[in-house]
Amino acid sequence: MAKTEFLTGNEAIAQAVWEAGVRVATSYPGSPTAQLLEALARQEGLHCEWSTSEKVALEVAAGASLAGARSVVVMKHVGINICADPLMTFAYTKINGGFVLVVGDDPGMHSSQNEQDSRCWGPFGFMPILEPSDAATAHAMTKQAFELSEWYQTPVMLRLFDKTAHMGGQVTVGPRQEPAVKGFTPDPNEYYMVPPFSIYRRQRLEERMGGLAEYSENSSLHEEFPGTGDIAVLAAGHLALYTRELAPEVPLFRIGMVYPLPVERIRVFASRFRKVVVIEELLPFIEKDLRAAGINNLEGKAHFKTYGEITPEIIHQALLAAGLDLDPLPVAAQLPAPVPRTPMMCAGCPHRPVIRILKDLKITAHGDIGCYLMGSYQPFEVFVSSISMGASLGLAMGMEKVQAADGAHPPNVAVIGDSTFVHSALPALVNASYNGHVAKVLILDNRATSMTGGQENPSTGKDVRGGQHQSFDYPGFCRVAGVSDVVEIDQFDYDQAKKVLKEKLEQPDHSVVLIATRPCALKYKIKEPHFYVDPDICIGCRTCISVSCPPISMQQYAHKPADKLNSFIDENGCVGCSVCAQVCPVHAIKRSEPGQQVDVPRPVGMPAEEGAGS
Amino acid sequence: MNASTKRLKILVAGVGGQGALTAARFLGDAAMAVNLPVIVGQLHGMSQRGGAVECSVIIGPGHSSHIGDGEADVVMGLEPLEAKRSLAKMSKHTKCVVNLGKIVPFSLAMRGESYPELEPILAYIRTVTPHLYTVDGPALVRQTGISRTLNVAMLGAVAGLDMLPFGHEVLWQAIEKKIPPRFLEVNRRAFDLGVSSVSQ
Repeated sequence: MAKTEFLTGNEAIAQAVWEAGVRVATSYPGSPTAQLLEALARQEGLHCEWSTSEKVALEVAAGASLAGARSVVVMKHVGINICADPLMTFAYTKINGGFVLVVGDDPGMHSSQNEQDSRCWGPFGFMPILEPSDAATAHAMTKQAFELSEWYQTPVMLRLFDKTAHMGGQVTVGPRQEPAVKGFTPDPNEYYMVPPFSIYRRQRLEERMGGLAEYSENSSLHEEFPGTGDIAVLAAGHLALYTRELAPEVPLFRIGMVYPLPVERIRVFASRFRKVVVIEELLPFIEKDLRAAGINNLEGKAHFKTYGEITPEIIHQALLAAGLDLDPLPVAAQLPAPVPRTPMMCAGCPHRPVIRILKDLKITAHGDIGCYLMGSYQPFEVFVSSISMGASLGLAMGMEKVQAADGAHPPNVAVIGDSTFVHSALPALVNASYNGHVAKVLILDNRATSMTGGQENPSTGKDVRGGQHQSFDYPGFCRVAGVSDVVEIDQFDYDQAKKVLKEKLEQPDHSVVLIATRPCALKYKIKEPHFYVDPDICIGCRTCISVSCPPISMQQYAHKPADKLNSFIDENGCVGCSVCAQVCPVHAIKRSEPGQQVDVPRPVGMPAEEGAGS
Repeated sequence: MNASTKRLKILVAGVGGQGALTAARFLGDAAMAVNLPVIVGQLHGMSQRGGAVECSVIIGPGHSSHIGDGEADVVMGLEPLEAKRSLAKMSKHTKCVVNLGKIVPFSLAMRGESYPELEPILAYIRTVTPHLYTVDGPALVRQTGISRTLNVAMLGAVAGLDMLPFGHEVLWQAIEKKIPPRFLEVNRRAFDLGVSSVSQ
């Protein structure tokens, strides 16, 4: 029986994927769609996996589709770059089991290195693209996407945003269907993508796209909202919802299928108005397509930037500029800019001492994609570059080649996490040995894909449901790849770790892989006896502050001069990693003893906790 | 509240790791339990800890999870500076509940500065809305013995405003469903202390 549940966009899609009878679901975690596979893995009846990369994820899902089962692959926008090679050719084939690619775009770069517009893959790869507005449409469109995929024998892309992936609302859920697995019939014309077969398939894509264009013209995925006046709005996704709220009287065409567009239907719609405002984030994808079709009473990017998020306030302003008569929005209180609060590494984060040592050693470090990238921010600022998954190794090799030719030999170190290393750095390390590069690699093996929420990965050998398989042998791989000097370090032994890093990284013409072995404090809920500051020893030098740990702050103490602040550690936040104590020049930071009350003065306004010290 | 026409817009503001999103989700679950339309969204925030986080809960018929300037009916401020940061969303009608427990932004600590004085922050909020309710979160969670009960205590305080279109017990039942049994008792205590912290 159908019932209503409160689900986020990610959860709604997971539910629909399950209801659609999908047999195989794969993903590499990335915001804003990281939680989708986790929600799906709570269901039964299908294989779910965190694949080692989006490329592998797509290939596994594609294999399941070839076998005639429905499959889904989930990633963030930059993940498509990684899997573009198989995607662009798999899209040539006659899709057998329904195949859906869910992608999360990130205009405004909330948690991404760029903000590319995934709609471009539609015409580029001959695939339709659907864009839900909220959890309920995400659920309905996902089920429709599998049908479409099978009707037109095409991959279907479902495009989400931070807003649509995370926004929660009511969704009517249903039971799981069990569509029969069709089985695979070998046919070189359809699945051997080499010429002449691929030439035959390329020609079939014209028929596919023609059929999809016709489908789009008649599809109920699009929705028209009547209104009054001679100006209308054309928008998809959450931007259509914003418009409905801001201007319910304005006629709206909500596009559900953003590629191929229902051009003729929009032509008829647009002809009824003096002007149609096209609201879309990033590129003028819709606007250009419509203008190319000769629909010209449009105003789009004349009002909107091609980067960043579009907020309701921006839409309001644009609609006013386009000539609509709207009520003014409430005026906000004029504020001085509040003190910024930037993200920082967690208390007990094992990256902290490594980043701090790199800063001390003034080593040229290339960053990669992971929590350690917070070492790019104040107070560390240690990375000279960060581009994309696994890029740090290649960047270090190339820079070192040029600098070495000029007679300089500064070590160029690649700093990379356990998951990112397996995702994209394995060929790079082999390349280093093969081409005679001096490889200096620091692997931060914290046994988690932390930045996206602490997912399992090959380092733990655990799958998305916790099943134990083979874990990846980092030292073994590095040796096989040709780097004989592989050293594991305990970064919480600060001085010893610093000594090893200095010796190994500064040694000229010597390839080395250093593996920092402490696990993620957040994922593994590490909680050792907390440390505390003795304010009578503390000289207020702020060295402990410079390790940038959330529970450490500068506070006033009643018995100290009023203009002098000393440091303080919030015992609720400290997990006892000891890094601050190890860098304190006067040994003012001490470890508490379990069960014993810490007997030092507390800052003004901070009474002792009940049971503190335990 | 007349559920068929009126919407209630609740903004939850805090620091990453304080449980803002979880609190918003509890409010959403509670609205669902009494068959009210509800949308929960994340207005701003990264997945990392320590950054500013803003979530919205909109109860009543509507389309988007956005709360515009001056539109919040209730602000649940898990931290004083974060309540102040969301001042643009408040109007003279907004009821603002603020936890007085401070989390020092790193940028201040780095410069060797202490946290700004509390009273001017509160006075600043009062220039926009007279309906300011303060909760001594640190003292309150000390009574429960577990610091992670803060978001539940603050939910209690929001319930105590009697602005929600459902009773205290509806909200508690939504919380209860998602909390491990061994933490139920302390969280119930935190919830009740939260309720009474804003009641006269």
